[in-house]
Amino acid sequence: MKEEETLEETEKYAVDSLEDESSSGDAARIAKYILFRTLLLMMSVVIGVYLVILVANMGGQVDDIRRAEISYNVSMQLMAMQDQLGDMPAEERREFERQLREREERRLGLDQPFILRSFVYLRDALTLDLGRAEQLTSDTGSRRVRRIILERLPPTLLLMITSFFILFFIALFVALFLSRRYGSKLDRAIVTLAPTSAAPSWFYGVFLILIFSTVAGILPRGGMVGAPPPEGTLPYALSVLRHAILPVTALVIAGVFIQIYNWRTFFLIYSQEDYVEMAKAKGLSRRNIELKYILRPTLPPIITSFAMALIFRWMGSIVLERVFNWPGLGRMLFEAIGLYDVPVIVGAQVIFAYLLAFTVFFLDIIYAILDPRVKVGQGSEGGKA
Amino acid sequence: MNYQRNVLKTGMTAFLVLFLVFGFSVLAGAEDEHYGGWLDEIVVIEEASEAAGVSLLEQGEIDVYADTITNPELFQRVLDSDDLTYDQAFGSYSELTFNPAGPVFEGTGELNPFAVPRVREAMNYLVDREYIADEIYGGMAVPRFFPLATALPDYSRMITKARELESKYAHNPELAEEIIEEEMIELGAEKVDGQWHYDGDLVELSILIRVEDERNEVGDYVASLLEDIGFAVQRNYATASEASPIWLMSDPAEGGFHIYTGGWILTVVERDEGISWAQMFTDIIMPQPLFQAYDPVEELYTLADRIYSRDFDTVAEREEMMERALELGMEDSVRIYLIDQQAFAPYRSDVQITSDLAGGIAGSYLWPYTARFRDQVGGQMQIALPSIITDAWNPIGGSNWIFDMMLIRATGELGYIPDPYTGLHYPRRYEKAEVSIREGLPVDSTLDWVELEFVEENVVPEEAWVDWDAEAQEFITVGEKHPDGLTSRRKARVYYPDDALENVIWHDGSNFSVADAVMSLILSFDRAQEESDYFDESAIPAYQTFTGHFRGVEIVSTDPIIIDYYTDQYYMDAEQYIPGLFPYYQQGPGAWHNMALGLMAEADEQLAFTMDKADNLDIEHMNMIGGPSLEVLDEKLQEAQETNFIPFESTLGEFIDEEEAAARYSNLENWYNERGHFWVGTGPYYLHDAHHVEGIAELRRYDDHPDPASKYEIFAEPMIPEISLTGDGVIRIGSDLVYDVSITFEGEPYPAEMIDEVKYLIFDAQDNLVATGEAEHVGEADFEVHIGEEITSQLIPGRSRIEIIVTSFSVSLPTIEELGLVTFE
Repeated sequence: MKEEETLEETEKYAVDSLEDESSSGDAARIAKYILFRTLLLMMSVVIGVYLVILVANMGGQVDDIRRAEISYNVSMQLMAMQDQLGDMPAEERREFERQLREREERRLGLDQPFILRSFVYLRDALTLDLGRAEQLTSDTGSRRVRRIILERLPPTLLLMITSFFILFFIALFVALFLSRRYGSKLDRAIVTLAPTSAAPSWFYGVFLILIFSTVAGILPRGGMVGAPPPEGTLPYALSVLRHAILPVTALVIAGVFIQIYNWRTFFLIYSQEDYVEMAKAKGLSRRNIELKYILRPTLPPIITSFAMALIFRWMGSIVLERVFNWPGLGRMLFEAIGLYDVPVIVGAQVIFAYLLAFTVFFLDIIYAILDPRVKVGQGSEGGKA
Repeated sequence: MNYQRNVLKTGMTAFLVLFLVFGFSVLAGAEDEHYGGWLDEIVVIEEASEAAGVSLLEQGEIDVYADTITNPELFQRVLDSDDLTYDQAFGSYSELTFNPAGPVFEGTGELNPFAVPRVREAMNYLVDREYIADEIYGGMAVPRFFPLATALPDYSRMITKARELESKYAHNPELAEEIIEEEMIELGAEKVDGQWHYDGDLVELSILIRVEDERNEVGDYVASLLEDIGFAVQRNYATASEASPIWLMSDPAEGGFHIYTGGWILTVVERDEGISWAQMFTDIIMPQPLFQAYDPVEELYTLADRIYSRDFDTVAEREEMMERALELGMEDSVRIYLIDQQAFAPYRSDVQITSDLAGGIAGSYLWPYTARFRDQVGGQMQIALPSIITDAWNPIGGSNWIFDMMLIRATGELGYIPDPYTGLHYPRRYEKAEVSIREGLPVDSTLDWVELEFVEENVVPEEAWVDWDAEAQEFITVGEKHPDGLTSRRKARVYYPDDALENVIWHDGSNFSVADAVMSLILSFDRAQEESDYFDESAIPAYQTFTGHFRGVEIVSTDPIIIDYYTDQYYMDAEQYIPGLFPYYQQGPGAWHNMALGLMAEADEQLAFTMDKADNLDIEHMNMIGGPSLEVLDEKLQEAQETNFIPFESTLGEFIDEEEAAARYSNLENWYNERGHFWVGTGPYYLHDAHHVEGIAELRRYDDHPDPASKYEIFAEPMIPEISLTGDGVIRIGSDLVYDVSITFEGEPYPAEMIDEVKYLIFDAQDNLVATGEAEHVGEADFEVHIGEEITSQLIPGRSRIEIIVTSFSVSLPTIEELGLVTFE
């Protein structure tokens, strides 16, 4: 017991020394580094968002598509109005059609050259003025991109965050468990099952629907809540929970084996380090060894994986949400892409770009806190150990 | 013949009236006091996948999947299931669009054989429409040759000429190759090693093939046919978005394509398809470059223009013109029609619901009136649609998505209601109408709720309203605007039922009043005038169209409501689009008091009825059923209650007193507090709740609806005639023959009063039409066809055939039955 405490103290001392050393470093160097990273990330965001604008507009070709669609739709609109138009003279009809067409082109900004509009899109996106969608509306009928995204965010977060945390904790604990039972039957089974994660979540979703909905009939095949939705918060929540079981399970199945495999491998590597052997030799408890000598050094990659997975999930899963008829952001994005609705596509992407940039930025800092070996601004300019 | 038609018409009308009265009394007696719809509740959910929709039906989780499906495998699943049934709809069709530029494309220097009408005409022989319908569309299509849909009334009217031409242009690849070869040589091309060359280069045709549906396979099929006769073919696969800039918007002379696999959709049963030639064969209607390149022979152009402009005096003259246009259209063939698709809308076998012949269930106006579980009153029906509540709902410029409109139609009603099988209009909120048409216009009537008369002139009275002064908020009379007088081509006097003011009640409990009707008229003018607080630039084009034919309105009586409406717009059927001002706007029902809140919000630039105005002002598009609009409308409701706001008071003040205004706003407040939205109509169901994100809508039966649920039972399903044709299958040339024809529906004789015509056509072994005529009525639903020696002597040895065509007054789809005749000397 005494030996254990001594070792902990030694370690604490070592960490404190490193932190002291870090805190006593050149403040200007850190500020310069932070500024440099910020600029670098901002540039990445600008370039990334502008590329999204170019891609979403197909380099301006979407304008031609839009004009053709408008022309066709206006003609069809007039055909549908044929009974009202009656025997309107052809000249008047064409004039009427021209007015409708031009108005719609103006509404979509097609009277401005694309290159000019692309910079307006960029400015709006970077200032998070998400503006109005061109075609898509929110579920409550608003054209504001902010509202379109916000209305679909809760269902997506519900699905994604639930599955994410289940996946994260199952993977973490099973990986730790397996790292102690290397070569066991369960370990071999996980290694064997790891490649199954190559299949996407919707693939498992289809099977789950087949088994639990079509054949067994015990779970709903889709939707977010029963129809009509139960009245009262608790019955409503229970209904949502019931509807979330299959999609969440699909998401977990699709990721769990490879995640366990990855982390179990990490833990195995770290558990074979000399200092772990030393700790074992000193007779430290297994819990202490796992927490302080295995888990802590593996925290940076785990946190990176955690943060990245979290932000990558915020936009939902396009196909899974369609398979389960789940009203999330993924389905919304799918519709926006199909409609070439640039403001919505850009709006979703710019939020993602900012989230990614912030995450990377904060991860740099968190790395430095968590891992004493990380030095800020040492070596090459802006580099990271 | 005219006498016979009149007798039939009278008989048919009497039958319909009897049927309505009988159905009403029997069913109302049996299931009395059930008003509005049959069901207690309709729950509508979103399911975009057709396959998933059918699975949900099989599992009993939904009762109706109200989209029209064209997938043959899913159709087979429905056929195989005892629990499922379906309705068919004929709303979409496919064709081949040719690029007529050339014969050499200016842009590429390539040869374009389709610049030659005869080559295009030959394509009719080259393609096998039966194969396309049976194999590519899996039997879910029927061959189509003309711009007239095979299920709609105009095709029935043209049936004799149509069958003759269909026989003439039947699949004949040898003839196609022969004609194309002649024309290619004429163009200066030569065939080297079985491949066509022009100026030393291979003739390569570019087919723009749509990939989203069966047209993908149609494109491949046509490409293979052309390759077989010596053309090199480049297959360019494209989605709608990718294809439209090329086929529709590019200059045809640039040579972006030779053939495009086109497809079109109809959403309602069109009774007049006379616009088709002007639209599809000339540059008259469509402004896009492709259509502007159309250059038909002068006779076709003139006919197309005249038919479109209704430049004819009688229906018979129109039919004559259309027959010729059918012939010339086939010779021009700037596009060739391939198939009419037969989509289906599946539902569970214990369900009864009305489907529109063109628009399916979602396109039907009658579905909420007939939807029920068989032999059951009440209950909850679950309906799935590919999408719901897609856009904001407001009566003027709200959602026009077909699936949203399906729900909106359940909550509101027009003054009339279209027959889903013939497109004819029946009275809904109107009692009857008298229509006066200027002499010489080709108008006829079928149903007895409209009295048709022809007059020398329809003089518009001086006191009738003809325009609107947005500043003074008052109507301008004919006397003020046209001191020299004004006439119109049509006058419609509409009578509302005597008890309309007591019995027609908005969902929030407010009684319908003349003010609701006048409000709808005011808004036709006001929103397009710059002086108005509610001016909306996007209302101008529709306003111009409206004022182009509007000649005046006079409210003859306010209790009972009688309205005279004068217009230059008329239809060949006197029953169609009777203008009686019942307040159903472009996108749904609207009472003056809930519309008033919208107007207040629009005047304050907080909300806008139309998306155009909302975009221009960067404000919210008005949504009366959800979202940020509700808060604004609620605020306006409080304001309206405080000020007892009467919109357009200078005019509507005559029809609304302060007491009524206060009562209406109070009703609306209660409604909003209870239901959480501002959508009120007079339809058989009201919007109980809309769950926007979840994609669920709940409609509940409106107890205070004035009509019993049984009112439209006769439209529950289409009475498509079934034909039994018996007689000799082996005939000797020069002999006399008699064939027996029995017409039935579900095993029972078809009501004779409902049968329009029973025609026969005799084709010889080379598919030439030898004779045509009408069958003789011999009793109940039995007919005889007598074919005399003078006809059979014109036949030649081989397989002749007799076709029987039955057209009915109750459904526009003609029924055709044929019998092969082995003919010998």
